Amino acid sequence: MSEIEGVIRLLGMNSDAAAVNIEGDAGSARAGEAFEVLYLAHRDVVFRYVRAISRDEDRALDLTAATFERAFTEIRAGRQPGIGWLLRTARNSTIDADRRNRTAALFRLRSPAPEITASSPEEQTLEAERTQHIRHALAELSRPQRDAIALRYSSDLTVREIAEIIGKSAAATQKLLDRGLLRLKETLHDLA
Amino acid sequence: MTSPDLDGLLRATLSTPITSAQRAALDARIRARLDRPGRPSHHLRPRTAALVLASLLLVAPALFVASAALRTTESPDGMESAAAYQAEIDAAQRVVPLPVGATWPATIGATDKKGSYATGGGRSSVEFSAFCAWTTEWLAASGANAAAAAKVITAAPTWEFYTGVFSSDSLRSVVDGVVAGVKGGDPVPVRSFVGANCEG
Repeated sequence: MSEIEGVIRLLGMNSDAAAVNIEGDAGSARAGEAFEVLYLAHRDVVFRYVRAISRDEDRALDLTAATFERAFTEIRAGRQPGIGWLLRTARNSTIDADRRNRTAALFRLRSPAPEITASSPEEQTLEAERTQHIRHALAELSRPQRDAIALRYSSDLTVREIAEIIGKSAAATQKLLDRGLLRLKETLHDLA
Repeated sequence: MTSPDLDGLLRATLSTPITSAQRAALDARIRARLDRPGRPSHHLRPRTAALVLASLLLVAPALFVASAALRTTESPDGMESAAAYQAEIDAAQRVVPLPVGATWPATIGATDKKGSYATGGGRSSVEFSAFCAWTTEWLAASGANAAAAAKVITAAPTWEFYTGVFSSDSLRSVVDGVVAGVKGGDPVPVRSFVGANCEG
């Protein structure tokens, strides 16, 4: 499959191919195919993480897309980015965007309300409020605490895996998690 | 709240599966980025690489002079002072058109006098405000005034706020929808944009 064909195949895809073996395929497949495999396997995890550290869902989509665009460039250069690389790049892209786009908030578009699964209108309202409340509480944490908690709960990573992504020791990462959770517990006590 | 409560709450909120709409939106944005014309290739042929190197050697002195000039007005990471940012806004407001009778919103400006601002952000903010003003005008006006507004709105995709670093796929997509609405005489996407982004 050519590189372009691999990209074109993105047009029709919408499946949950989460169990694809990237390492097996990336070395031999052409860039487009390797990218497709990587994207299908990790799209959801990367988006959930970026959504957890961004207040704005629309922006999370942009940053996730930018992360995978960089991954495509890496693959074309002969490298094999994995999930660790993707999450690190997503984190760095978010930090860069926060730093660079301080004034962009002046014309950031309002995104539609997130999809919710509760049944009655009252439950839907409560669930949406609870989600907002938790996202705001997360946004109040220090960036390392927020990153650690987001990686833990959005991607179900171990302390060691989180440590590798945020560039800290396992002990320091555990401390970030403990302190962040303690702070969230204080902020969110009324949601019990 | 006990720890298991908090644990469950965080897990439920932060691991909410991606919806089909979000997945479709993400697929579309990836596709748009990868299909973008002029994406740089990282594999240069030796002859091309030699030409690029020769060009770099020729332009390097000019780049050095230009960058030295830039360093006098902005920091290396692209930030500028509140005064420079305000000057950028003032300059943009002198050249970016507004409908007759419209005024610039008070929210544009360097509100934090000791703060640092992203270079170029002032111009983009001014343009976005103008886009709001023209779309509002198009909805309210008729005849020649509506035609004038339509002319400005359809040129918006060439503006800095649409093409520059402060833009995003979602912003471009919404602006494209507004432009299409204006071209087709359909006020629905225009009204939706103004209601969500230009009022209050």
